[in-house]
Amino acid sequence: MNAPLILLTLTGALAVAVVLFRREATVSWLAASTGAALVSLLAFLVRVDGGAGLPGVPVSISSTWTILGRSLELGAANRAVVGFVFLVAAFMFAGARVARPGRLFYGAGLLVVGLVAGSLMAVPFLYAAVFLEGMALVAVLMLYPPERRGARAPMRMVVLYTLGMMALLTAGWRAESLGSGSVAPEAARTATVLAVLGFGLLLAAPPFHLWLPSAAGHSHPYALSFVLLIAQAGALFLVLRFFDAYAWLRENEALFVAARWVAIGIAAFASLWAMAQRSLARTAVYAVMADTAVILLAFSAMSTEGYQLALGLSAARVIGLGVWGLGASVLQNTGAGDTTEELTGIAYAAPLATAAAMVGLFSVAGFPITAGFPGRWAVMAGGGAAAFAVVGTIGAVSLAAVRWTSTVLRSPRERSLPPLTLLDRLFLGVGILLCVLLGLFPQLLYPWVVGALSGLSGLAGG
Amino acid sequence: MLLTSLPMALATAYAAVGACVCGILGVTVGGAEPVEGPAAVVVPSGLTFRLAAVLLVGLASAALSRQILGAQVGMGMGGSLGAGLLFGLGLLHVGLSEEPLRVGAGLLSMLGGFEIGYASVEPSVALHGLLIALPLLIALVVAYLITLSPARPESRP
Repeated sequence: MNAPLILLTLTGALAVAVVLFRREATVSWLAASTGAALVSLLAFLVRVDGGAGLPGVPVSISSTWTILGRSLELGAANRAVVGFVFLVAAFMFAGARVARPGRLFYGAGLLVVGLVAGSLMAVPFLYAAVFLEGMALVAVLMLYPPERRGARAPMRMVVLYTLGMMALLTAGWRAESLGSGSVAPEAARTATVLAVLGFGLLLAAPPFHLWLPSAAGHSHPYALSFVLLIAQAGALFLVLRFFDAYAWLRENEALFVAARWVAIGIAAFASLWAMAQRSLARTAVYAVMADTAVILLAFSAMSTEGYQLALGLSAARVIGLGVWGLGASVLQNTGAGDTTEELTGIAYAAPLATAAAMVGLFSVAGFPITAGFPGRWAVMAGGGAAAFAVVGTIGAVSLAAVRWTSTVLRSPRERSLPPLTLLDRLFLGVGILLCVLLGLFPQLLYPWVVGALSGLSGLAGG
Repeated sequence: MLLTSLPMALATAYAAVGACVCGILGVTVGGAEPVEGPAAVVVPSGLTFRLAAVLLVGLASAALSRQILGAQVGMGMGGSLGAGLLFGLGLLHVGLSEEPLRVGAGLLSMLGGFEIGYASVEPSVALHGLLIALPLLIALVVAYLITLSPARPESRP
């Protein structure tokens, strides 16, 4: 028996089960959320290659699953990130009970998370790009479900991920010829350019973000949040593994300086666009893009602390974007809408859902006392141009959130929305509380998330 | 073209997958019911424009593929030209379309061109096993989107 096979078989079996029971909402919800949490626990606890298997279960489990000369591995280098991805999925599946993102959500979601986990376990890791392409193909089912017809340009995400996969596979081929040691930047130019292009495509950095606004205008907010969180986590870990594997990449100072300026450009673009939107979902999407820019700024510090911060920021985003998705979904499900006109004065008709959407948006913006702030504070502490960019991003995206707050609090209009159930109120309340709690006590989240980097010896300085 | 760099079994598998893709898309297009929805965005798509674009992109693709796949990788003239043209013209098709079927056709051409080129530098059977599955998945996604998307044709100014 081997750990990758167990993890992926369990995920596949869960996906089949929730598809079979898709008409039983409670069964699907319980199977997906508890199943993903159990798989996450398994990834964290399983002891491989000579260990005792699972605590209390004396079974020998191998770390490697070899298929046709290539393998999937679950070891010290990736155990934490694989567990993290399943934990994010469990968190999001739990909230889906209230958000109700569609009948394909659980089945397709489990396949998406399984494929991202496959990308994290792929050896050589360059093959991860193919798994991420598969993930993008399955994600289409979540972003464009049968209940929401008539989408414009639904293939954009697939096209951009396919281009990203091609760029990374070609970069990998060039990188293999260079080896993992130090090489002059001039000799590694082609591989570096292709790798950066691939990362840009997978991280949806402008101008490769075209699928995001169109998906935001059409998809269910919760499904969009799920796909963004899981896809970008997979892409970020692939970037870290790439830099961990090749010294010529992580020792290229000019590349990190360029990354800093590109991040500042993305932050400026995304912040301005976030302020200009008249759709709440599109504002959130540009806020996420600005958040990606901050992650890139942390990464561009070219230090172990910077890489750890990048991981920490990507974890904090889960809370903010998840809570925003929950609030925005409840608003959409009750017929409140998404545009400025539709949401004017909505806080009086649906106070808790509106509060969740706003607090989530402020958290993604990195506003103080929300989950998104502590990571930004640490990036600012590094000083220099990055600090100014982070301050500007927090200010601009928070201003967009303030504008939305003013819209939802404007004079109430006569409208009646269906009342929320106790479960809805509970989930929305806990979500808001989590955003504030992790903003006040970041030590609850950051230490174990940044520990995920310890498996990458090249970046962790081991 | 794949036979020049891949074993017979893998090249046959690629051909079989290609036939399945054609079958899936053919059946879907034949049986799709029109669905009301927003009109497609107008993109320049007149015959003159298309001919000029095909000529320009085709020439650029041929030149680039000869330089990269021919000179650097050592691929034969036919293989490198075929891969380059498939990739370049597929990219053009993707850029000029928004309808899932047209974008899917462009994407599959692009992927075909890439796979021909990549097969000459990467002999791993496992990777090609994964890559073979992609056109099939793309065709299934395109078929799914065709059943959901508006049926109006793209405007041709």
